[in-house]
Amino acid sequence: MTRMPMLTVLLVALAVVAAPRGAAQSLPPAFQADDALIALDGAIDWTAFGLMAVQDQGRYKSLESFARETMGMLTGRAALPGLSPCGSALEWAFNSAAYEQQRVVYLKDAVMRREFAIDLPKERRAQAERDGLFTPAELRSATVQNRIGELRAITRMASAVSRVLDAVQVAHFYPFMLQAIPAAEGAAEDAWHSPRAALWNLPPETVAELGVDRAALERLTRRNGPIPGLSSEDALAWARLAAAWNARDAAAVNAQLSVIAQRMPEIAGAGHYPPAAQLGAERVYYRMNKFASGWIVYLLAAIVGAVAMVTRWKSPAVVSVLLLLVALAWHATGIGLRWYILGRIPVANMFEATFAAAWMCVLGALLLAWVYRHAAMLVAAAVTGFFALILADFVMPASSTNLGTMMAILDDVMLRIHTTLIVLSYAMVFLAAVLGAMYLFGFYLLRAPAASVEAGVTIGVCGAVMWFVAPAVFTLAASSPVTAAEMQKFPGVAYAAAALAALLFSAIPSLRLFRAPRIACTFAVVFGAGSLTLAVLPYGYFVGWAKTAIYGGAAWTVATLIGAALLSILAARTAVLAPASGGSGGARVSLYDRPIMAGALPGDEHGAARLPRWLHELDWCHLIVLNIIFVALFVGTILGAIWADYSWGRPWGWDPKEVFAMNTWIVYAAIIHVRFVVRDRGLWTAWLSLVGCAVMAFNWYVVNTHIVGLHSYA
Amino acid sequence: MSSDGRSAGTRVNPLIRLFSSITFGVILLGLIFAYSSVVSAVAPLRYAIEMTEMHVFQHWIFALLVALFCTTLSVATLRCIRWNVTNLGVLTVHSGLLILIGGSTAYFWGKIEGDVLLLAPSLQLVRVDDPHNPLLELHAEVGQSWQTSSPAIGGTLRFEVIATSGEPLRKVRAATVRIRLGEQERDVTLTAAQPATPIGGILALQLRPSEAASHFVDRDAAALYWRTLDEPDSRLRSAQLPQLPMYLERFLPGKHPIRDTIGREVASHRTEPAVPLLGFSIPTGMLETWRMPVEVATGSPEWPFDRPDAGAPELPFDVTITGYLPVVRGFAPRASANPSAQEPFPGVNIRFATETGHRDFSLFAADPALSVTESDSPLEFVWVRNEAEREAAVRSRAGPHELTVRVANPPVEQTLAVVEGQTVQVEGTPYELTIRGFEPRWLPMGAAGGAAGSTTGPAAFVQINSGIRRFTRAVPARPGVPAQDSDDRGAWQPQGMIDANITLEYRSSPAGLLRIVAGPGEGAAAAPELVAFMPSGRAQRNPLTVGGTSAVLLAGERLDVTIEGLFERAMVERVPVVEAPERRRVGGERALSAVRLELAGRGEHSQWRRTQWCMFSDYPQDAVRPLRVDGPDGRSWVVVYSRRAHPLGGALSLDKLSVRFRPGRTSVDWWRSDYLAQTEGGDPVAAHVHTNQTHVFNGWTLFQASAPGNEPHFRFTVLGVGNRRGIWPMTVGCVLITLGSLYAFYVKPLLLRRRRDLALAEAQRSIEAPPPRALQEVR
Repeated sequence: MTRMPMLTVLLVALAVVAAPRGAAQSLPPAFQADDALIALDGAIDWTAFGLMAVQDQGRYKSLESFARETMGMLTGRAALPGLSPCGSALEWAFNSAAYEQQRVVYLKDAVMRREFAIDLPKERRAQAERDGLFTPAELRSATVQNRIGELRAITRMASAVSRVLDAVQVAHFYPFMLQAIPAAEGAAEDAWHSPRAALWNLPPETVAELGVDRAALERLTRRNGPIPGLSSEDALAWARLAAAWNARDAAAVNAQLSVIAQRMPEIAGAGHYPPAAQLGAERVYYRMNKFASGWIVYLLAAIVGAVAMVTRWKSPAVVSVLLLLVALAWHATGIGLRWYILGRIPVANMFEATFAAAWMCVLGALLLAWVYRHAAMLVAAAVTGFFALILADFVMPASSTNLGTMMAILDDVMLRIHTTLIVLSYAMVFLAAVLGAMYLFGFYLLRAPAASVEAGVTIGVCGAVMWFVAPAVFTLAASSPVTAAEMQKFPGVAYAAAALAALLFSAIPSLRLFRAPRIACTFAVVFGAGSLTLAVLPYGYFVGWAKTAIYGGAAWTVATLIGAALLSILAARTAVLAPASGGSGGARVSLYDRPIMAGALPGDEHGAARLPRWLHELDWCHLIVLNIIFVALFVGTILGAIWADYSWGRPWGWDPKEVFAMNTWIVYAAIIHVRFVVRDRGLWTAWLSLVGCAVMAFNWYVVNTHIVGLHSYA
Repeated sequence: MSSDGRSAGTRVNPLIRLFSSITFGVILLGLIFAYSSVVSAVAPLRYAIEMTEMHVFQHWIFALLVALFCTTLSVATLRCIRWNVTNLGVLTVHSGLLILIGGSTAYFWGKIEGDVLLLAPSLQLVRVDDPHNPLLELHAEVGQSWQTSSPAIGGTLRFEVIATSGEPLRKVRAATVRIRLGEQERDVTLTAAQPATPIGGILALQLRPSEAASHFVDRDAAALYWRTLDEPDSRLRSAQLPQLPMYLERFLPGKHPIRDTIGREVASHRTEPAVPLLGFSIPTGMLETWRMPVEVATGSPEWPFDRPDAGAPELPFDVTITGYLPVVRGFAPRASANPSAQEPFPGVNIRFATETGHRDFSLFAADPALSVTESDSPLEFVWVRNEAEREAAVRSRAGPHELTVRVANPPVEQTLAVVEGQTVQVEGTPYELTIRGFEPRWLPMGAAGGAAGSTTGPAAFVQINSGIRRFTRAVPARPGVPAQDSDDRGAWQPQGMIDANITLEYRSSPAGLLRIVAGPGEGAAAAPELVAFMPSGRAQRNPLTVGGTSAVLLAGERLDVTIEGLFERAMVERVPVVEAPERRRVGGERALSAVRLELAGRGEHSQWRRTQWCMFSDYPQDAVRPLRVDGPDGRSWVVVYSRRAHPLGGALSLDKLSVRFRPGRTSVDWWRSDYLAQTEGGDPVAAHVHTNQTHVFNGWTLFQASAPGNEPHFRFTVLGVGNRRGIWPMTVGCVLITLGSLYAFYVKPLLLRRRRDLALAEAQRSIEAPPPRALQEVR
């Protein structure tokens, strides 16, 4: 209520009183392509038409890519239900008005659904919040438009609102976005034209037949004259296509598509039309799901590698390496195609950087595994590749993974040097964290298996509590007078709520269901701190964190139980888990001969004798990677400072990105020195490595997307 | 290397032992990590102490942490690490780190960052009546041209720059332009001194010549500038405002409450550096530098753009800043009594309250722009002088859209409900009216196709056919806003009617309308009342009382209406309206801020007092929002709240800005600014910066900071300016750290392994070798 000016509320009440009483409003139907449309789409040969160029968002793309991207913005999928991408594009370009009252616009973010459904009738609101589907008319309302304006101001909402704006633009302005008619005159960068603009170029008698006067033409096309250089015959081809499409005449549509696909490249000024090979590559790239599906192969490689590491069997090791090579090749193809299409190294946004960094890291880890003959590297590499691609495939919004332009300032040689090195070091940080987690798993399996199981269960329970409580908290917050936006501006409220959540989580171990409440309590506090952070982030993070905790806790628990069972059954820890060798023929370079990190050596820590050799080897592997990270992080950061010096006139300005780059390096500097003064060196190193990974992730994601700074584009 | 600096057998000073401790060093690293993480990631914390990112890392707490770390690093390196080839790596890293920190200290100690605005010489197409807001700007370069065609301005208008002249640094001081309007063509020479040259009666062309910038303005530091308007060559004086807040509302109590854009009253944050805790006030002046109020040192001003001038007039009043608002969206009028006014100017302050809150309005019946709120369902204030006017103001309408038609000759008056598309034959006259449509938010149009005003409101569009002529009339519903006609070519007539014989009045409340009706004097005829018009046109009258609260039932909802003040002769006071916190965008710092100035006369004018709000201007010399103050001594002053100016030690003059567009021309992927740079006493030299390339001028590093992003009109460029002392030590430190790390990680192990192999070999040899001769002899 407080969200709306009071006077408006009163007057709306007046209007409601004065309005005629009618029957209860029925729920709008979901988008449904009719049989004739589906049949038409199926009868069309899209080959040539799909390879036509469209000018969109500062670049040229194939029409099929354009269709996939824009339909993704609108519906969350590559096409309208029941239709092909190209068929969807034409239907939406020629007939979008027919779907004004159908639920077709998909909003992914739960907060956005709730914000924009707030004024809908109760039943309809529940439906919209449940399935996220809105009608174009609903999004056109003044309430929604005003709310979009308000939410855009909130930094943490910016990405979600940006996606809504993309959807609204496609829903309402699609005929103007389809700029497939090249500029026949002028410079290469001049704007292309939409088929609707071509109405001006129709023969006068045709315009007269349509019954459209000049004013109507201006309103329809948002321009005041014909497209220079476009013949009336070419304009007629588009008009005939629209007519045939609306008449569901497949033969006529095919004929016009053929004409248009042939004529458009001919219209463009010399050298202004993008090459067919590039457009074809783009189509392949999208059809292959941007090559993100390679996570399946990485997952298999990780599982087989883990078996090889534990059992020391030769066959799984070979299979794991082969699987990694297959994944790497698939991964490389995706990077190469993207590089070719965009004409620049693909490390300019989060998707590209994650994708490329993971590939480089996996390749590097594979080399390390080959040099040092240790299967732990293979497993860590596969896990790194798996997480990177699963993020790209499922977590990152499709709009952020599409092919696109980059910020002007990024067009520099330093993009290839600084960015590549820094994202590679970030991927290595993740790799080190995986090795650290493996060390922790092994350490606690040996030292305190019961406590380890308890920790896993506690994490899972915390996640489950968050999972079940989240909707209730969300509903409570949404229905309270303090809106999410206000909570953002007055974080004290959010912090207080999160502190309460932390207390609740901390209370779980006090039930004393387990034997070691101290450890469980530690985890609860960790989760309390997590929820404290999450209190000021969007709802989706809360749920994501809960799911991660459930799956992670369950995996940890099950793995610990299996490990403990193996230990007890075989009763020979060192024999079962003896140092594993990733390949046959013995090591070329001994693990113990490899360069070491500064600080005390592995194996001489407190209680070393009670730890098996394989655990020391994991520590060695970990240190090998930490060496690389320490140097790469520093050099990468300094190269960034050099770039900033000749780009922004100063090497360092305490921008959040710079601060957290420094902080990430500080963590690894601390690791070096902590090894001098602690007793369980491997343990401390592993924990601090996880901290370093968390700082890196914060710097890479939270700083980029939720903290305003000079690097907000990254 | 030994841990914790322990050395056997000697008693070490505890302080030395502390600073030799690796544990202590790691703790300091942790503290540096925690400090930088918190102040960087938790922006509200920085806002609370009014510090930018740069300030918070120049804070003495951070400096202390770094100093302690450097001490620990130095002492531990000297005491705990053996100086030999094996440890060369770690010694190099530690030395590099100390050099890097030393260079950084030099860098940040005197760090200045700011920017300079360079305006390109340009031709400006303006409206005759508004020369300060160009409709179009064209780079004043030979060969540049522009063309448009519109019946409203008399056909095709084209102008082309055919010659320019100027000085070495200011290349364009005059421009010769060939102007073609319709069939007429003429050449005109434009200079900065001459007024705009009229074109076709409505438009005019003027030159903005090349200008040289000798100063840049600081990124964050604020300053107050002033000059008198009574002396033509008066220069700006300034005073720094180092204690002025930046992020939060901080103001002392004032005459009127300050509200946000949602209507809520805004409270001030702390106005003194202290934190209340358990009833005590804990002073925090050691941690934060802002203060409120801020005394402005007008008595010892700086002359940023000129040398001190003994004859410069002294500001005749003291200035104190008693309020700071970071995001001001505008100023709201507030009515107060004006006993000295000769003419009536009715004003009302009114509050609407429900169970959930309240909202205040101030309306002025005699000013069309201030008599009604800007909304689809507005609130309106109508002043009625007699019963007949009251009846007209409160009666129900004939329908949702009501039109009154008055014809002077023959005299006819007719009021009827109308709908879109309806045709009305005005009885007894040749007039035929066709209702073309209704617009809930219409903005009166100007002659050149632009908006003629800024006040929108409902309007009806009526096509009038008089039998002789056919034209369209826009009839606004808002009282006091005249109707406008457009001819058969579609050109709006800015003044006057095409046919004054027929007048139309339109009334509508498409989404409801609340009207406050009141009149002069006392008694029933003057009694204020609230009239609620339904969308159907039906009116509901509710009596109100001045100074009291009246309960009104609207659509079943109780509404408490309080007339806080009703004045027949009122004055308009402007109170700032701040952006609601949930609608604020991060960044921009002072861009939308305002300061409240308390002005107090000196000496014989000590009784003179003024309170005025002054909005921020990005650049003091091109201030877009200056404040005019009529001083107690009869002189007028311009006061500018802006950023602190620093001399460049020379001058810069923009030649041109070039941009490279991406396909579609909707975004830019490269900027380049070409300019002339002249050091003091030197000759102008051509220089440029572009994306990812800087230029060093007089010790200042210039870079491309901002420019127009989506249109090629080359109007201006903004160059970032900064100094960068200590770069070389920083570079040397970074190189040493890198080399030292590589040595420690990849060379030292080889040395250790070789030493181990040698030792093993030696041991092996000693085992295999025959016993020494002496031993053999003994045996």
